[in-house]
Amino acid sequence: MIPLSHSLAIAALLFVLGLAVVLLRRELLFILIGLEVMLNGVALTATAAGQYWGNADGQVLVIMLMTVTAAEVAVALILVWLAFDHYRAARVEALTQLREETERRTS
Amino acid sequence: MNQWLWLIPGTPLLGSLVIALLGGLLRREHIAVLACLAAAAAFLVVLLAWLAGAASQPLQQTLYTWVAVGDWRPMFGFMLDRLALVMVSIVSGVGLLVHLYSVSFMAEETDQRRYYFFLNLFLAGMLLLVLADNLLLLYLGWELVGLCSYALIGFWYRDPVCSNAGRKAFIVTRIGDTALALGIFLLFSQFHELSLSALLTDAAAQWEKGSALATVATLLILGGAVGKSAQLPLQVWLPDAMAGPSPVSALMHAATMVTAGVYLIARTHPLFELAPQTQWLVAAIGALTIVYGASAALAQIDFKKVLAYSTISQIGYMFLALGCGAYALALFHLTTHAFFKALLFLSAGAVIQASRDEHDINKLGKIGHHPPLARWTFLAGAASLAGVPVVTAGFYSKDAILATAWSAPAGPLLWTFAAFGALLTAIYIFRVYLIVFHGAAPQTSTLSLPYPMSVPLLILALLSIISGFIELPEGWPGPHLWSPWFEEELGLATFPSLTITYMLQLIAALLPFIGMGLACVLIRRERANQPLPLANFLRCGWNFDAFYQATLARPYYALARGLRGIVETLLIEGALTRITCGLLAFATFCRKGVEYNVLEVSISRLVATLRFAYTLLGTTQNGVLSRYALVISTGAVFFLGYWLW
Repeated sequence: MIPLSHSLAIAALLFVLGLAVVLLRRELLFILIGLEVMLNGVALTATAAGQYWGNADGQVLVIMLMTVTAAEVAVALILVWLAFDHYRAARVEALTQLREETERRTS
Repeated sequence: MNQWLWLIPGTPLLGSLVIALLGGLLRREHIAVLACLAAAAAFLVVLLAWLAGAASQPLQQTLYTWVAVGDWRPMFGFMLDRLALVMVSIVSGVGLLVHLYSVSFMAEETDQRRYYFFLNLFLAGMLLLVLADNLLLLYLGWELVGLCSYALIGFWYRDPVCSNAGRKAFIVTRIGDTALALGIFLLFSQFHELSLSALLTDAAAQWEKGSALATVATLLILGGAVGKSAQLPLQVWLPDAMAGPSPVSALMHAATMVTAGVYLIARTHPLFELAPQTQWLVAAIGALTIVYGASAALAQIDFKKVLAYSTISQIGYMFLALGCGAYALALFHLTTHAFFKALLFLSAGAVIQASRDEHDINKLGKIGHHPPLARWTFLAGAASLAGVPVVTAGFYSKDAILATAWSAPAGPLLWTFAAFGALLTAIYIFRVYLIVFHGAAPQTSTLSLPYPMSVPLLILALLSIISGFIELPEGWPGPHLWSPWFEEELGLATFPSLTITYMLQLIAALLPFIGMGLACVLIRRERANQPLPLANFLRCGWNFDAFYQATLARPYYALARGLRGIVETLLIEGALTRITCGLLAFATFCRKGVEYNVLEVSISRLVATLRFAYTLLGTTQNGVLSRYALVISTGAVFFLGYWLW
């Protein structure tokens, strides 16, 4: 029986690793992977908690999470492909259309 | 009868109110009739009062509480004792005759409404003054009389001479009025009481004879009386008051105004008896004024001014009598004087009007053609004024005063003044009579006067002759009705021993004839262009006007002018201009400050601040995805940390 603290530590490690990937990598695909890793951390927390409490809700949440993640990845991959198709860019630095473009006016 | 007392001043007051408020609806003649009716009603009530026994038992009526201040409640009350009865009889009687006379005399005037309004109000004010049972009400009447005299003397206000005369009368009498007001305040502060009867008993009980307070109080009252009665040194207004219409002069001199001072002193005589020095001063002022008025009248050219100075001098006799303690005799002379002076003024007015408003006696003499009735009635008045013995009323009243003056302190001196004045009186009045009616032109006139003028003249002429017979001189057989009747209220006059009295009477009887002779001499000299020595000095009333002008008016003007200069240069030029400039600069500064500094700067600062904040915030919107993610996660960590700990 793995104690809860171990599972939670692994989950936190996964989440932080995922977050680090999201924050540090510039490639869109890597960011997506980081997101998946973060979600897996969350899912692990849910299962560990469900097991700890002797409750099935955690595992139900994980199934739900997998479904949502599948759908999300499908949409996200399409968006990444469209971005590459439109802007020829696979990195986030290129995707700055929403940046504020005001020039400073001198009074 | 008691409850009808208010009608005596009430009816003229009502008449004046009706004329003032509804006069526009009435025709001119009707206004005159209405005013006469009001005066007649007052006279009728006075007659009824005589019949109802006011002569033996004083009447009293309290209308209502006038003012209520704490425990001090002056009443609007009337008191009709013998003194007041005689006064109201004269005032309303002569007033009625003057009203009647005015109907014809003023028939051509356009502004009758104003004239009769003030004439009625004048009468009401004087009756109020005489009937008042407390000093406050008396003062109300006193001021009412002053106001009306101002309005009537300046009746022809378009003529600056007239309006100035009115103003002068008002201002000069105001000096006296102020003194009287101070006197009333003093009495009130001492006794906390203004009711005359209570006041006089209190004063007699609390003040010692000759005490300082009594002297001051009586001096102040005397000041008021001197102003109103035109005695030295406040007599200057009376000669100028001749600018008013003749009936007004008659009313003022005979009944309503100048006698007020005599009445006031007679009314407050218990106070004067507590202050012998003041009382002697009253006599001295009287004696001096007699000579002053009579001598000034000697050189006058204006017909009415002769009579004005004559009034000053005759009131002097009354003051002399008051000062000698012979109040009843003062009142006696007041009565006879009211008759003959009203007569003189009214007949003079008739003569002046018949000669187209000519006032110069020499020119009047040249014109001739005077109404015969005016001439004979004037002669009757003149004889009475001069005191032609036995037949005229003036002789009896004046002789009694002369006799009683002898027994006063420093009596022979006072008597000498008074007798000299009597001589001058005879000279000036016969001088005027001879110049006007025995001038160059032959007297062939058959001008007749209308009834409203002739009837008052005849009545007054009759009274000027016979009214003296009610009190024959001391030591004569015959009726002595006046003094004994007043003994209870005013006391008896003292006379010197009978031999001296007879001597004095003989001298007084001779004086008019000597005066007549001297008048003839004087006229002959005047016709030969040898005027009196000092004629100009006398004509200007001993230059009192010039003296006051130089000592009072001119320094006052100079002071006013100086002050105006100082005020203008310092205050207006200096301060006000400076203040204006300062304010202007301040305003400009404010405008500039607000506009350029506050508004402009603050708005532009605000805009700049907003813009700066906007750019600061705008930099976060940099489009770098990982930065957004970092901010989100940092925020999440922060919030989590906050919630968990």
